[in-house]
Amino acid sequence: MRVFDTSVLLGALERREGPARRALLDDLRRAEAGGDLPAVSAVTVGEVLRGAASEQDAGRLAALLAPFQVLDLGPEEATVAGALGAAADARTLPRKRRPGSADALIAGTAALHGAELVTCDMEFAAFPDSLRLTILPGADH
Amino acid sequence: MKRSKPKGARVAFRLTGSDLERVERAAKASKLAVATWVRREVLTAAERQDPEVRRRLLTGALAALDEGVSRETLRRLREAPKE
Repeated sequence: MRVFDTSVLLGALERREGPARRALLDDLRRAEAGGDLPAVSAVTVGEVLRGAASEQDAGRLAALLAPFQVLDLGPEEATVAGALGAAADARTLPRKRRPGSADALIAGTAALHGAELVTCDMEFAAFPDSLRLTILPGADH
Repeated sequence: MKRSKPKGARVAFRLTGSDLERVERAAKASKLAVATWVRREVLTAAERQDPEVRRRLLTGALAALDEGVSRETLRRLREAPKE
């Protein structure tokens, strides 16, 4: 299973060409052909819908998210997120290169499900290597 | 809000009637299409695997990606607080 971070959805909406759009289209088309549905964390659902500036955009964002498996955020995910976040904080990185709490919750959710996490956000690189991570090139939101 | 995890499903949300009414009232108040989203989200993982449902949702997602969203929405997504 592949879990898409919020940054990939934003990147795919911002640019008609680019790695985020290609990655998302690849997975949606693979699902059309009978492959696994792509996944997002419930945190991403909240982040994406928060951005809607109009009813029309809210409908489009909801339609974009509709086929995704939405991975629940519960105590186990939060616990793994805490451990991953603490490990990232322990690294000697400039503060602005450290992932935030929402990022840690998304990472913790992906890690708990044993899923690959796909992101455009370089800050995810601060998480331990045990997280199966793909950072798409050319974008950093 | 009741949540259930049917056998073989990773995630599913189940809303009771009163929960759904509450969300719809909030959606109406916010003038956003949240209720539409919630109705979709009520689908269980098993229902998502139904070929017809799956095809409809995937077609809708590809269309939404093609149509895009306004610059204001993109700005709000880009500049959302990280914490």
